[in-house]
Amino acid sequence: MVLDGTERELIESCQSGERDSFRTLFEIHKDKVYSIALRYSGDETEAMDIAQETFLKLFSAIRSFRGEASFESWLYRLVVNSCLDKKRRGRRLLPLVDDLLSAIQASGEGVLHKLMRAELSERVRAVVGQLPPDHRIVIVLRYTQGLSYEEIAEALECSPGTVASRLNRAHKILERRLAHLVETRGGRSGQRY
Amino acid sequence: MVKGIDAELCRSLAPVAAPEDLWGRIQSPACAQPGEPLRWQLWAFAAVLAAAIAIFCFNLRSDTTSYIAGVAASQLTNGQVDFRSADPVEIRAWIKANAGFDVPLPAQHSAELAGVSLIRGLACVSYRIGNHEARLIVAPGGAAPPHHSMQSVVYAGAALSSWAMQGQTYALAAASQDLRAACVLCHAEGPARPRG
Repeated sequence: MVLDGTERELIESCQSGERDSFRTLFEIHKDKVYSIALRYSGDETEAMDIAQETFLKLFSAIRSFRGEASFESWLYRLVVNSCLDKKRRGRRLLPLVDDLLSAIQASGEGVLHKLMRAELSERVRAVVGQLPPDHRIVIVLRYTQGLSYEEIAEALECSPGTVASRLNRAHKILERRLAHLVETRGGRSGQRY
Repeated sequence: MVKGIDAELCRSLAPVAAPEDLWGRIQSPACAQPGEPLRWQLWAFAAVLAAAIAIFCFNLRSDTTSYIAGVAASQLTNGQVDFRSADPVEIRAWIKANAGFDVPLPAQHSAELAGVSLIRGLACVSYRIGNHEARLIVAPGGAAPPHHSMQSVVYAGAALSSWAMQGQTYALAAASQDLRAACVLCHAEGPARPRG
């Protein structure tokens, strides 16, 4: 049994239908679920849909959770399935006006740096968003949640070897597409890509 | 990996805080977001289904049967599965291992299987017939009578049917008016969609 006492009590309380316990469980895990959804989809509206679906699925299926695996693994599996079930939609490839405006509205010092950082992050997320879904979800779980290969494997219901292989392939793609950006940031400032 | 990209990934994909209104959306899932016509259609369909379930349940005698028919209908708009597989043998084994009862899915059929979920102890097999979603819900024995007593209704584009057989209770829901098409999961003689 992986659950500690408090978590087990909370889950048992949810399984018996305690409304307040659902809220507590939601508060504990909402950022995690939403972060994965947002980093996977790259779209706030879609991320809300994924998070909503994940929690609805969680609440409706929690009685079937038997505590044989960790609750967190089970939750990751739910959010991964919600992500992978979503059809990929078109993503923005350029920094949003909002990002630029918020950077410009910041204090005068370092505005350019903030703009460049915002743009770079946006580019990184855009390139991640272009990865195939099974590679993208591995990258998100690894870099958004810092999961180990074993934890990712459990969430994806595959072997750690498969995770390693997908991460390796994803890294190679990202290296090829982002190396130029990192170089630009490091030394050749002003060069467009 | 080029030095710096790893760090950029960590920074660019860093966790974020969930919006405040997420809980509200979970409590009231029927509240669709603006600019999403497809979601409106889905919720409208769900509302119609709820009405269908209510009518169906009113006309049924057996609580168990009406309950699982309701579950079958409510799952029509849920595309998620606990175990994804197109292999009936794998699905049958998964149900046996995880739910503890047998669902006699034939190895040969012309449905497009998507997988299976466990919903409060019921097995929910998800599949498609042509362009139509279908769900087969099976409840283990107990209250179910041993005889075959089928109840069916077609309402607002969705077809529901439930019956008891060999000590288990079954419910079938299909997003189609032709429920017989959904029967091909277990009955090869149904009006099957040719494959391959």
